[in-house]
Amino acid sequence: MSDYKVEVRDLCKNFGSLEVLKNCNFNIKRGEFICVVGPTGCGKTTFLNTLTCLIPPTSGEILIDGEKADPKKHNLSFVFQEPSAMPWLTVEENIAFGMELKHWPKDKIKTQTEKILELMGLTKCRKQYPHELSVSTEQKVVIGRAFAMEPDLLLMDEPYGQMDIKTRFYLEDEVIRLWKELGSTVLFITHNVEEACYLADRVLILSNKPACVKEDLTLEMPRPRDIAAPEFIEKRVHVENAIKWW
Amino acid sequence: MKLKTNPLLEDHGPVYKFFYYAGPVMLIAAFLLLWNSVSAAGKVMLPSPLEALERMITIWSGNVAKHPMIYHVGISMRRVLTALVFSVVVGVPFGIAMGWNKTFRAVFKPLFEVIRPVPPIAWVPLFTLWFGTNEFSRVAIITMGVFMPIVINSYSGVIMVPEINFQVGKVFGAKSTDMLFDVVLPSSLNAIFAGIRTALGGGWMVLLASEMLGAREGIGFLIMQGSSANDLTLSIVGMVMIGFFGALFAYGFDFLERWLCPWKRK
Amino acid sequence: MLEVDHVAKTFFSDKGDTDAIEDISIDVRENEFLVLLGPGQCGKSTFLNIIAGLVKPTSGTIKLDGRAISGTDQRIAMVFQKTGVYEWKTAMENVEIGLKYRGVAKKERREIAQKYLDLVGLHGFENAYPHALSGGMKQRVGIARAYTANPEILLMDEPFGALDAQTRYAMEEEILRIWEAEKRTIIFVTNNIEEAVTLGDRVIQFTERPAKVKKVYDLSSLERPRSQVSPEFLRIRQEIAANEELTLE
Repeated sequence: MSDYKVEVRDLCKNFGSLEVLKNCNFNIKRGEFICVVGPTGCGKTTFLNTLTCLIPPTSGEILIDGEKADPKKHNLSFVFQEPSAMPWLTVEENIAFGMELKHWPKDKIKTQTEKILELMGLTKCRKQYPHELSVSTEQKVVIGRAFAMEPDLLLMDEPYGQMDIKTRFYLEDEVIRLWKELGSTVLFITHNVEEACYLADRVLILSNKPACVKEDLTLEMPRPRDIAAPEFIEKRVHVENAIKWW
Repeated sequence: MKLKTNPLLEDHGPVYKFFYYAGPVMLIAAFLLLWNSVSAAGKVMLPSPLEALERMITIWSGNVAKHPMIYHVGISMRRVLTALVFSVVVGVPFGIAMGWNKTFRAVFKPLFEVIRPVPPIAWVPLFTLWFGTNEFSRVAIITMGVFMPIVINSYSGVIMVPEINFQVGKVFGAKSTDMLFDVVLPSSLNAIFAGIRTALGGGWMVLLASEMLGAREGIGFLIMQGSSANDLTLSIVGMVMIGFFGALFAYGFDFLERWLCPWKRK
Repeated sequence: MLEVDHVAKTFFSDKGDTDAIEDISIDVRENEFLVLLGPGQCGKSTFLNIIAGLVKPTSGTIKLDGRAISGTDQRIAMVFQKTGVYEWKTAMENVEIGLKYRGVAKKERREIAQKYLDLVGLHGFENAYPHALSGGMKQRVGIARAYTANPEILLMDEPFGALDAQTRYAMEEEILRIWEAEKRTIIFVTNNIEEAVTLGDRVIQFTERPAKVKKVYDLSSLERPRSQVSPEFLRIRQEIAANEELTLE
């Protein structure tokens, strides 16, 4: 069995003659929290779509647990920028949703749902519907749902993009807490360099189009991280300079 | 750089590509074959595709029902266009007024809502009684079918103008006339054109119905004539003509819209 | 220059009344970059709309240059969060509307509009329609449009809220550059603390709804151009963050 949970080798994606991704190479270890940053418009969405097998790559391979990534076989979970809770399900039904899709045994679903509800402080609103919740709470439900399935890879695409800073910090802490507790492997895409440095074990820095992994930066800082600490600032400035176009 | 290949086909093999292009052709061929065999079997009165095609070509020389074909086409066009022009000239301002002015809306909208659900064809008996079976009557019926969608859509266009457009105008000092002509009108053009397009589509239908009402020329008349004179080929030719000119109209209209609204996404 | 005196706003409706603003009094100095900071939905946009003349206050007065104003005023222009550029007008036609509606002659207003289009970095895009412009570019049209109307005060309602973090940084630098080149009084509303500290001469922090002034921060000691990672910057940022209540909107 491979050392790595996810291996990506020489990934390329073209749309006609437009090269979006070129020779992307990286690995993700089991249980790592990876952030992907890149300049605006570098192809992050295409990167994500290719990784999740939504669109086939032009060349190169994506391996999960040493085998070719297959959405039918492998468990891939997503959180997008817009909260995507099922409007016709309550909070606890939403969280159970992914597990039910994968036909887990009923008692396992129940215990896992309870665990997630507890971890995220959602027990009070477990019977409420998404439209009754605030945007950040709804996003919490979506995140809880994604983690609950114990996915092979959890992909998050700018989940806090539209939220104000305090809510952001709060949700960032929440996701770290969940991650630590459940040991999932997470790939988190963001435009916000500070957020990437706050969350990640490693930061993958994408270049401009055609995008490749320009740099693979390891952040060995204990959590919770202090955004004012000199070491944090140093890393943040380093990443910002690597992608700065503004 | 422009994409030279159809992105739908990028990830499929040659067999798929073959069916993608050949499929429609084969289906049309199958349809024509079916038509031919039904007509050849003789059990149902149906001219063969070849006969229809032949007639389509010959009909343009010489007269049909006392007039050349082009005259019939022209008359039908004229009827639709008259109804359309009237509806646009009267209906668009009417709809806009309903959307823009609260009093106008309060007065006229309820009457509108009462008349609207009545299908245009249901007016035939009344119009026949009032105006007889003459040209005015026919064009009036078509107008009933064309007028409603145009007014409704113009009205919708105005009330759906996003609040922010008004806010911007207000902050930058727009007066009432500025607001109406510079903001509301262009903002509603999309809906107005949609209304006209819908009206056109429906208009052709009502045209046929009205021409079956004591007309002596026109494509609808020819279609009826064909059936009563056991000349089904004529009916079929009429059907094709209507379809063709309808499509031509729609295409021309799209062109007009794109010319008048250069700010639309291509 | 602008005196806001005990402004309050309640929205009345059949479903019940909403107090948006409890009591706000602010003095705005000439040519200062004033930032109004507050959590989402706290009433700061309503406050700005009152100054713009789009909303009438329930009580309180607003005085500009010593005289009370009500309704829209040509000395006050606004940059909107949703940009609000007219899709059917070109960039140039959008930018000139303030002058057009005031009856300024075409040649003259085109010249002025061109000047500001150049200033915001959209030279060459005069005849482009909004559908061909990116979010950041549309917002720049909004800024040029506000400047062209030749106001004394520019109101900006979370203009960069819909942009991604990096484009936001770019636009923040842009607006500071524009402001340095053409000094006007700017009242800028945001919910982003980092943005507030980057931009403002003063930052006024609002409470949650109904809005009141919680605290006023004087940032004149922070030299421009400001570094977002300097210890002083981070200290102020942390201080403001500590004072802000967490509202899970």
